[in-house]
Amino acid sequence: MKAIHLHAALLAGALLAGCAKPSPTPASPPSASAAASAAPAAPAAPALTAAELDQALRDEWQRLGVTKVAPADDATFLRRVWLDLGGTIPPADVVTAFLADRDPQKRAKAVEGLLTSKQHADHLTDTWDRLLLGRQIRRNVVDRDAFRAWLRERFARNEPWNKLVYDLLVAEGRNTDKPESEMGEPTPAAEKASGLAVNGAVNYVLRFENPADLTGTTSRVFLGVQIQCAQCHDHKTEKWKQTQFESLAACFMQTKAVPLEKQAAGKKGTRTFEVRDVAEASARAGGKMQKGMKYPEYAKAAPAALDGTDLSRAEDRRKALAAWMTSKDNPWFADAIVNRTWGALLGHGFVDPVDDIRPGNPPVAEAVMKRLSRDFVEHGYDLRRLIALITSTEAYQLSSAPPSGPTPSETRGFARFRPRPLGPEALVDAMVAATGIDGMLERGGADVQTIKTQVRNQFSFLFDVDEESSNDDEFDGTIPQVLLQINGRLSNQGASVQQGGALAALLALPGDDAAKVRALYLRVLSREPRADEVERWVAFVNAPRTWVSTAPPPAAADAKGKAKGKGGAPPDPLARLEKRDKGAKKPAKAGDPKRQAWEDMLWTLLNSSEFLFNH
Amino acid sequence: MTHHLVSRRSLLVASGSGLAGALASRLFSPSVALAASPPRAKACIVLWLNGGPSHIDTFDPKPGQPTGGPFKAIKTRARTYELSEHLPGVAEVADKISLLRMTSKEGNHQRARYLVHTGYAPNPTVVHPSLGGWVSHELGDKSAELPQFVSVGGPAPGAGFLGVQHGPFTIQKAGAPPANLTLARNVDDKRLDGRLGALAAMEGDFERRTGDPQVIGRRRVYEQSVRLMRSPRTKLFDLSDEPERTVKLYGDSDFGRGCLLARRLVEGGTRLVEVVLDGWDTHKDGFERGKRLSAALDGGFSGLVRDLADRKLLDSTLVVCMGEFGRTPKINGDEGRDHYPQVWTAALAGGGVRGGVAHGKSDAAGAKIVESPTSVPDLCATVFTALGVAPDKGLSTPSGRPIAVTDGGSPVRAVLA
Repeated sequence: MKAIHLHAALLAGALLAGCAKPSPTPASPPSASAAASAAPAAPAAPALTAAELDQALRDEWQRLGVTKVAPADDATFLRRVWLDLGGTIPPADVVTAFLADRDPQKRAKAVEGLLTSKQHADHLTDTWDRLLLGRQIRRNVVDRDAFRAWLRERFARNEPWNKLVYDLLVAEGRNTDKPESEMGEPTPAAEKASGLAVNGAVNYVLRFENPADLTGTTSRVFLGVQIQCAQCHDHKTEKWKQTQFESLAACFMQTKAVPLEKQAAGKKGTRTFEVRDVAEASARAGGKMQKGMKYPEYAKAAPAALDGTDLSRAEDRRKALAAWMTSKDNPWFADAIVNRTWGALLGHGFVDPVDDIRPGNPPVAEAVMKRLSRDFVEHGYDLRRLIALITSTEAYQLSSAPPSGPTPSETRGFARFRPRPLGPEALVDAMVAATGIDGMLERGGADVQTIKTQVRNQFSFLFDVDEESSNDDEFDGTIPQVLLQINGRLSNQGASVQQGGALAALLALPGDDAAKVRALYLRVLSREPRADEVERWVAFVNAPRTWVSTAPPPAAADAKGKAKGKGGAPPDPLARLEKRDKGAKKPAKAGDPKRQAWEDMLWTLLNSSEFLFNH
Repeated sequence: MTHHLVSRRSLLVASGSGLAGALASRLFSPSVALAASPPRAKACIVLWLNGGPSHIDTFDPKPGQPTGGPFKAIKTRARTYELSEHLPGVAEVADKISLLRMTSKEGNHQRARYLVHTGYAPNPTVVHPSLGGWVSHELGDKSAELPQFVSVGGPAPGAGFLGVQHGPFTIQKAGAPPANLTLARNVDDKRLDGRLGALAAMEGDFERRTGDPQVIGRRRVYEQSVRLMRSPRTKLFDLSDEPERTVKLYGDSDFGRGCLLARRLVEGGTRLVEVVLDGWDTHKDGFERGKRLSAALDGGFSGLVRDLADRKLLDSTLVVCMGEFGRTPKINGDEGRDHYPQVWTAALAGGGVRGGVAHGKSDAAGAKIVESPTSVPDLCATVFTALGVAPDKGLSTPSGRPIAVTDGGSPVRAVLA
């Protein structure tokens, strides 16, 4: 096992070298330091290997007196990297091929395949879209699709992180690609517009209603520094002063959001804005202000970076700030992304919460974090390289078995993989993949993408995620979520035998019940069942039972009259699957009861913690 | 379970020396014995004024002050305190309500919400349980049909390290039945039993493989969910059988209906209901908005107190009304007030609480507490005492760290019955 592991690590190193393409220089280098930080590392520093990280972690375990648990088996590893890198579970044929593969480097290869996949770019897009725009946004101001497209393009070509962040922070241009014909009445400001091209990244600035929120989020997300508390008062335990917050906010006070079309009542869609930097700081800048709001305190403040670097002589403050933030000398920038990525993969950051880096919240295994950060900077801020390194460590490849030894703590030192519930996006995608409900919908001629988005929103709503919170523990499985899982249509219609779906296809295959149990396990749980499990399920599906037929539950809309005013649950996008099924109106004629036994099995797998957790 | 109740004595004996011992003695040494008094309240309803209500424009009026704002003050049945003119209903039942003049230090919404809900300042190494989580854990009935902790109009902070099984059951809006309570098509009770039986076998297996408290907690939530689905008490969520006269008491607002639902759920066995009235973050147009918000608050709060009293439930139900902080005496350029944790008010009524008292005093402008300030831990200690939970009661987190239900607070005896 150990030999295999080391081989994989070496291979990962080789792949990594390939990943680290020379970083393109920013289109218009704002300063020498940003240009220098984006340059490829030459001469190459001794490349960091997983073996080196492993040794550092073992030292940490020894220091803490914790014992690592057993390594994860191949199936567990594959499911884990698919969820972490691809945002969903692996298809059954990928699982079988992986399990059969004798290549000692197959784990690193699987990671490499995922890192260059479309799914990975989509998954990173989902993650950063959520972090940067939040789950709920002002759709009449923000074009989420344009923002996502901007992100996706960059993640797909593995844009160096410093360049991506720089370009995001300094973005100027129009927020949405709306044809002339659909534009509303132009505003007076539109005449003076600079005619800048569409740039999806400007939606980041537009998302904010004031410069304070823009400043706070930018610092928290990209630097891991929570300076927003200093908005109202000096920070009590850390060094941040209110004046420092104002100086940082001042860097955004040349950034204006200019509406190009008037607000038209009742008009749907996103209004066109142009985001651009003007010569003088303004009290109405740094976000899409609400009517009448002004922020003279920030406009008047002297612009400075968090470490006190004076930016007041900069012609363009925002560019100067972005250059400082993404510079290789910035003390937080690399740590912040390394810590966030480690936290996303291991379930717990070196510093946790992942966006709260400060002396009062010291990191666990600091040496490992610092080593990763250095490597990240030296190798061109290459996200793929970073992820490949982390996933090749022993810590990432440990199982989620109960911790042994005298220390009761479950997470300290990463001596065990910490199971975590799937978030709403991954859960919906995994359930769709497991049930083939998209196939059922396609058969009915439905717009699958739209429905999938609606179902994701439905889940996100019930998961009730606090978007300011960086803690994935918020996805915790409360009663409303569990009721959705027990009675909702995604699990029930998904688990039904319908043309186009997983179960219908599987039952049509030749083979005995044991083969079908095996196929279902591979599809849903991404592993082979053990012998006792096969035996248990074969007995389950063959137990005597009668066909059950009941009417569908009342549609959500029925309850609407009872609650006054707006609100109430929107209609369920998956209700159409019941309508299509002819039996919905009148009691269906009895079918084969065994069919329902298989449905019950699939429902049970979908409701199992093994499915609902990344472990 | 990985955390378990530890009595003060057993913790001290077991830990002896070392870090745990040091922590425990620090935690429990303020040798005042805060013994649990006999509980007066069996349940608690929190009216959460989200965003931070202006104390000056609600429970701590400063008429005649340059920064007093346009609202007049009115006399109340409490005689000891006045209220804003936009809370006339509450003024009528003020003899049953006591006020605590609060001071705290968190002026950021998220941090302040955490502080006031949990009694602890946010700390990255542990997620503290909110009041609802503690109440579910300490007073909850583990085989109850209704969820023990319900949030109406949440999100509400959860149960932290106590586990998801003590977290809130959130309903967005009072009146509509909770979503997904009904069995799916072609699934009857017997079929669900078969599914749950098969699931139990899988879960037992996975619990053994991971030994993880999250997995165990989730299984408890499945049990709670199925009990709820099968309970006749789910009809309590439907307000349509409530007599017109009672509905009117609470006023015509979602918040009022939330308060009515809270009363019904408490009657049905829920231990803590939080009803959220959002919108108090009035940096702008504070007085126009304050008027509208006060109308909803007035109907809901006064209706609840009256209705509970009429039903002889007020003695066993503690009602707490508060937000995350107060607002500045200074009126900003947009006719609003900004965040101000230095001065705010918490209102308490019902079980275990004496009515008609205003404990503590703010200065003429409402800028500073000048007499008997109450801290958030003190408020929590008061609430827990009324509920019969000793404020210094200790628990151990999953990582073995001792934590008490309050962060060293002492109950405010002046408002306790």
